[in-house]
Amino acid sequence: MSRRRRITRRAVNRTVLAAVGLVLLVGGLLVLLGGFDVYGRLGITPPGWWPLTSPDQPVLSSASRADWSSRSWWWPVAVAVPTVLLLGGLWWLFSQLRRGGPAGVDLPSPAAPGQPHFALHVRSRAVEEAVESEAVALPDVDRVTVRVTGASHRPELHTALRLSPYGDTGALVDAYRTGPVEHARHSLGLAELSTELRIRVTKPRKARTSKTKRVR
Amino acid sequence: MTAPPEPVPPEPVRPDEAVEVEGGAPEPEPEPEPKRWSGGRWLRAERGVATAVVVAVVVVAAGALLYDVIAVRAGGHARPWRQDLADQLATRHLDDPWVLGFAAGAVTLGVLLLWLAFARGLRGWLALEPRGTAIHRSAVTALIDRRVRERADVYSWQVRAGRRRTRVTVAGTTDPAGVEQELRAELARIPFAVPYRLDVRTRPVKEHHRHRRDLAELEPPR
Repeated sequence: MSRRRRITRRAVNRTVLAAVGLVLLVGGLLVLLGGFDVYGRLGITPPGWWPLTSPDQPVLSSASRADWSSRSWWWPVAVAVPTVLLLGGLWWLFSQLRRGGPAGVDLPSPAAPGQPHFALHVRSRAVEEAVESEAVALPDVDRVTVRVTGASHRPELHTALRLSPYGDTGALVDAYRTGPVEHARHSLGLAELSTELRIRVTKPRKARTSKTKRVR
Repeated sequence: MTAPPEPVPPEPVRPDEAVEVEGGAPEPEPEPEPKRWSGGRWLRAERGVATAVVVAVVVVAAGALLYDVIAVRAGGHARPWRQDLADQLATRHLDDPWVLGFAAGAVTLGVLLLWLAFARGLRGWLALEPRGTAIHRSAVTALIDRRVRERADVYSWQVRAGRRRTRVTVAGTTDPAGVEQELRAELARIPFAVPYRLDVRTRPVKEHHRHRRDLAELEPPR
């Protein structure tokens, strides 16, 4: 529920790729099957409506083109399909412009409903800095970068964290959940604050390949 | 420890212990929670760049086609590129090398796009528990590497963190079981969401051919 938007974007992207890939694959396979006369060699007689069966036929003959374009539904379809593709593609491209997170996070108002109240709003940068400064104080953490994503009423935290090679990953994950994230969730008055945590480890300063070099 | 020891109440017999007593033979301890491969299902690439390329191509193609269709319907002439395309499609047969080449290219591209659509992606990242947490493979390498580095008896080593297992090759150790146990303990501190294996291999120390400058330092010429 709290991840609806991100999953939607990912699912849309993968659906687009799958649809275009399937069209290309099926079209190319039909041409290849006809071009190499696979039906004739295997002794298969495809049904009458099956396209591109013989290697001697053109890809799209003038006769069949005239036949198609004389149908009554042809021209509406020939206009509608590119229009839909164009509008869908433009919608996708423009939806990429709104990639950044919200400028701030809305806090629940302390006033009773119906009463006059101030709208409380915390800048995203403030939330990010608060979580960063608390997370970087966890043991063995070298560097933390936090981004607030999602919507202003349903924020999400994306954290990139760099651990020292002496760190304990399991303890870090627990401490991060129960420390900075829980405090941010509590102080923002949210029932749930979904987070994503990506852990890297600082490389040891100078990678020695063997100990003999140090001895020498 | 300064407080006087309190009388310890007798521990109630747990059911599995009771079974052990009855059966006589000690049973192997059951796995605490078997990890399943579906644990990291949430960690999937967004495929933003590939989709952007595909969408850009589709938009350009659809826009050009729409412009041309509308121009023809409004009484104009089709653009030269479309007339040329229609002529080519009408004259070239299916066994024409160009047609077959384009078809093969379309099949390849289609397979590639389908693979992009269904593969997990983010091959550098390993899913952790709880959901939403991931560790980079290079981080696993660095953690293991640090552990091996601190052992005094290891002469040289190589750590490769794969997507399903880490393979560590050490040379010169006199205690391979100890190395493996230590690395296993280090890996157990990482809460992987999917099964992750550790392979420790040992190999003999390679004799390094020394440069004659170094040899000369060891044994100066008389």
